[in-house]
Amino acid sequence: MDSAHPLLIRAHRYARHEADLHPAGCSYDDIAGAWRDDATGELAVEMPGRQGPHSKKMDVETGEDQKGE
Amino acid sequence: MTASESPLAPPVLVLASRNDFTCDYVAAALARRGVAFLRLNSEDLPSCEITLDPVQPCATIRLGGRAFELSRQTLRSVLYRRPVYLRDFGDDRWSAQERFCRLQWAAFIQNLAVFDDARWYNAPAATYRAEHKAIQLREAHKLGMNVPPTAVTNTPLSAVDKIPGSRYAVKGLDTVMVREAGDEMFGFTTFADSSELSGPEWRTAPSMVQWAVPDKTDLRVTVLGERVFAVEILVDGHGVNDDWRLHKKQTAFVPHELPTLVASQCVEIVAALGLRFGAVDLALTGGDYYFLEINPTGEWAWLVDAAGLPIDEVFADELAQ
Repeated sequence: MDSAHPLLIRAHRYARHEADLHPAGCSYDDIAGAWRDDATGELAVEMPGRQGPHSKKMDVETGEDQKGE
Repeated sequence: MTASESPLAPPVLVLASRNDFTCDYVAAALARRGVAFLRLNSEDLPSCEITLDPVQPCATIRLGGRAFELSRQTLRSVLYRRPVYLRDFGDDRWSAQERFCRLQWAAFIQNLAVFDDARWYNAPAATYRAEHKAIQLREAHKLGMNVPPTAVTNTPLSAVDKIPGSRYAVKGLDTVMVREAGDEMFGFTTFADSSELSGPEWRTAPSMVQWAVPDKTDLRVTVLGERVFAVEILVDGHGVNDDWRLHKKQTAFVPHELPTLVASQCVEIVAALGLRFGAVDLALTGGDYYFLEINPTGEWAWLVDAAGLPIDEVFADELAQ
């Protein structure tokens, strides 16, 4: 049987791209265990007005569990 | 390591990846409390020097010029944010060397379960079991939660005879995600009537077919220990009768007060599944709350900003206990 399963047919298909997920203008601080803004030195997560996280890990739909990532 | 360079023995271990921004929330909250922690990101492991004695257990880790020691006596809690197994998406992104290393490091992370005196948020073995949808529904039913009539079947047309109504929510037992020829395919919950359930292609793999809760408002309930944070998920101010993730850009998350019984049941199902944290999906219709599923690795950080919920602070308090 060569026909695809209906759930696969209904799945959203899109070109896969390797997105750069690093917060822009930030560097990872091993000691703080978090990203830090290059310009101000603040922890990115504590900066007012910064882009916050989305409803999925890094806004990438992997079923939330990132298996295989 | 010189004699003067005593290793740090943090009480909290965070197992994550660099781009797991949710962990930045926890890191900042722990820092505000003056709680020492070690964040181990999968990408950084090859650049660390690591030795684990699995029997004591005790681990020495050298990261970024600093030395750390994890021991049964000092490690109090672990925030586990890595996969419990690696899926085969069917692509060949990695060389044999890369694949080998990914598997070995993933196994190392999972073998840190030898620190079984620490409190795990969540323990990998419990997460693995808790992710099975049929097990979730069974546990919810045992606790007295409303569960939509459900069939796991490769013959959905005959199975829906036992499910009321004429519209059904259909989803994979496992996440519907595959890769092919440079593309990726991801399946949201789909909705169908019986005329769409009769083809022979359904037999090729089982699906989960469920009564589609009518006129529903989706709720996301984040449970952390005894604490419960519930939000309504509204699109243009209303609930939606399909998968709300299809409308992410128009979605608002509004705090919701659960009835005491329902909140207790959410706490209980997390515990019944051997977890300390869970993201429970409920559907509210006509005043009745229906259990849909629980995500042992569910996201929550977006709710800190979007709904004003201090989940990061509560997480830090939990980890620091």
